[in-house]
Amino acid sequence: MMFLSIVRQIIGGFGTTLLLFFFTLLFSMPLGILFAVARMSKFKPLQMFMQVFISILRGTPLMLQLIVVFFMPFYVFGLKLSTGWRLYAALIGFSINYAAYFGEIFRAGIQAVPTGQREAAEVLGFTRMQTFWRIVFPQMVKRVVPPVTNEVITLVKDTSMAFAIAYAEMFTMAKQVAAQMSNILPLFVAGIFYYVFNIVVAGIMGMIEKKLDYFE
Amino acid sequence: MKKTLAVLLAGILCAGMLAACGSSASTSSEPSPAEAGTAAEAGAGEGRTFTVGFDAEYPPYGFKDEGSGDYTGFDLEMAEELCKRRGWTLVKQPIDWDSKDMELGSGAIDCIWNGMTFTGREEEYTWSDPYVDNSIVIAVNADSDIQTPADLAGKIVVAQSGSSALTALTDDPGDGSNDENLALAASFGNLEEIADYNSAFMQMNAGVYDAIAVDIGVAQYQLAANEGKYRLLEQPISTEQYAIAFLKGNTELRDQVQETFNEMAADGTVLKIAQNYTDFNLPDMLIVGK
Amino acid sequence: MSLFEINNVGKSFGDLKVLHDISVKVEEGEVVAIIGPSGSGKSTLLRCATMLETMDSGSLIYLGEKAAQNDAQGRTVYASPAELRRIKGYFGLVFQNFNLFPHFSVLRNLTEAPVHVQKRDRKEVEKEALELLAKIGLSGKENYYPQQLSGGQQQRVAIARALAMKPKMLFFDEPTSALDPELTGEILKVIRQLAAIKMTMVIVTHEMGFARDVADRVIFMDGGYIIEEGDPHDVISNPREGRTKQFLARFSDQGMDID
Repeated sequence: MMFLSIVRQIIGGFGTTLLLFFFTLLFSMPLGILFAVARMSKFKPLQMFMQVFISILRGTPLMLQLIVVFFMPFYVFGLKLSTGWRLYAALIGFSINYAAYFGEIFRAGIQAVPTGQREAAEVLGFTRMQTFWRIVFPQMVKRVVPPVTNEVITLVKDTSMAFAIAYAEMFTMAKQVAAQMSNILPLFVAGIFYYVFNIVVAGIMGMIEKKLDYFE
Repeated sequence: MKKTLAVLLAGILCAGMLAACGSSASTSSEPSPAEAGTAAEAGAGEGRTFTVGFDAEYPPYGFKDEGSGDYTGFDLEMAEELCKRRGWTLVKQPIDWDSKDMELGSGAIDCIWNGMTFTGREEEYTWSDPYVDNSIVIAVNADSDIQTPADLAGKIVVAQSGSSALTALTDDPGDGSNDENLALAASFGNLEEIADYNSAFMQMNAGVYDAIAVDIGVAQYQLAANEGKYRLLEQPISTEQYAIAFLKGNTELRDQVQETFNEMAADGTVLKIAQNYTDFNLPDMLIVGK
Repeated sequence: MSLFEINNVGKSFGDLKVLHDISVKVEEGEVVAIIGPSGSGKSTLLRCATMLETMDSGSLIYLGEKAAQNDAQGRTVYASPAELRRIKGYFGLVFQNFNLFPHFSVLRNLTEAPVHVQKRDRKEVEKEALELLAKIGLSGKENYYPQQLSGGQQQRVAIARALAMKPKMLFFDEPTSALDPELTGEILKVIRQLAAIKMTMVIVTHEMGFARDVADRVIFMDGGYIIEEGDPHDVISNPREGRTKQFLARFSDQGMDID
């Protein structure tokens, strides 16, 4: 009975965690490609900027980045913050942070595609964009699936940091239920939710990896 | 196909960013309901939103209701009644307690109404009149041999980060007014900090801590929820008062809230709400409306 | 008008000058073999001709259209990217390491560029691709992926991929060097077939016997210079220059077939 009550209350928070997780992936992956391409740009200032930018994103706590994103409109631009801004701020903070990690993974993946592939495409007359999207990108995807899986699983757990800006996701809910019941069980229930969710994520990534097995 | 997908993703990304930026911009320029709820526009009158910041792990003042899953508590019920009378829309915003000043300062919340200790913080916020008198007590395991504050010498004591209990044990105003508690804290083996009191009680039960310095309301709640596990030392280490905190200088909103609060105290509503929390001794702790 | 002309190419990598004022003209239907020791500059010359390397000086002309020419200071200036892409349609290149696209099926390796670069009708391109595969003896392999094929089969697909673009001429960069000796024959056979139908080709190779039999003209390069150039029977069987003799002697020492 108590267990059911805990599960029911935590499921409410699971939705917000799922929302944050899903949209962070949706935004951070394309943004990561942009980061990777900018990081490899032949235009030195852009390349240097991205190097420093990515190093800051990877070198400072995500929680601090969330707080900066959330409060910046007020403290820098004097804009008043609304409650709806919390979700957007969390999404922006998470997406940019994860884009930095994905960007570095993608960069390594792009660089691992043999030069001969680009040369073959160039001689056949493909444009730079065609070469990237038709030739380099699919081969990069295959190479980055394992490290990306790692990041995605980390993201599932990292969503709990969104409470730094009072975005009430699942773990926050679990802590609140724990406080209300004066009992530690809700935290374990939340743990089970994360674990099961991650098993599903790992399963899906495994399927993607298998699907890409048809080429070397 | 892959290209289409990538273009689609990029499009969604841009749309998302724009929506986010748009939302941030709308907080300043367009009169959206969310924006009306900011402290700067306290004079907006009827129809405005009133955003109350609270720690949702702080029963009985603010917590998650087991049945409905909604946020409730003594302070939140009061806020609901107050908003009903003023025709305001209440937004209950659980916050990270450590960020409360940034939340208030940036206008993300209008006030902190959450068993907020007035005593000792008089100059930091614009306050309502105090409405609850609380004490800070020491909780120990039921089978502990600690009986008086003097027995705490050499023991490990814990208090929540940023809590009034911690302030009472560590704040040195420089005029000797808090020397007794500072000396007490100095006698501890160690004074540790923890993120929330619920964990503190669980960990004390597990033997990690010897004693917890805590507000009496929270302590009563834990004692009631875990019968026979804990007890309180008879001698409190301090007494303190609770009030509603507004951004320093926001007397306009404070006055509006105080006016309605006084009405609620006068007609017995405050007491009636407090009686929902008799388990926590709240009716006895009320300063107003008795 | 020559089909292909590269004039007075100079190319350095850092301080190392790898091409000294090289000029080569190729007429329509001609097969030219370029031979020489490694480091002689023959591969670099091929990469300059196919625009994978930029030249420091010199001009590059296909069918009278200038892909690159010297400015007043004698430095190479290339045409616009769009112009270069159009000129790239005149030639195909077969790599030593095949460089097939591993994530595409054999058929798609052949059709991707004609469909997306030349914007030709997919149905028609696929039909031609299947005919090409039949000609090189790979009927029925169109849905295989490159990794499922032997090295010799992959190189044949690579040749078909170049041919699918309907080029005016083909370049080969040591097309058999990455293959086991028993597989080189199948590639040489395909090239012979192409020669028989008067495909214009420039082949960088170490197969001396093959060069002598198939080529209309052989160019021997060493140290970034063209040392000797002419009829294959003259250059390979009766070289005039000392360095050519030395190079060819090394081949017969190693028991390589130059007959």
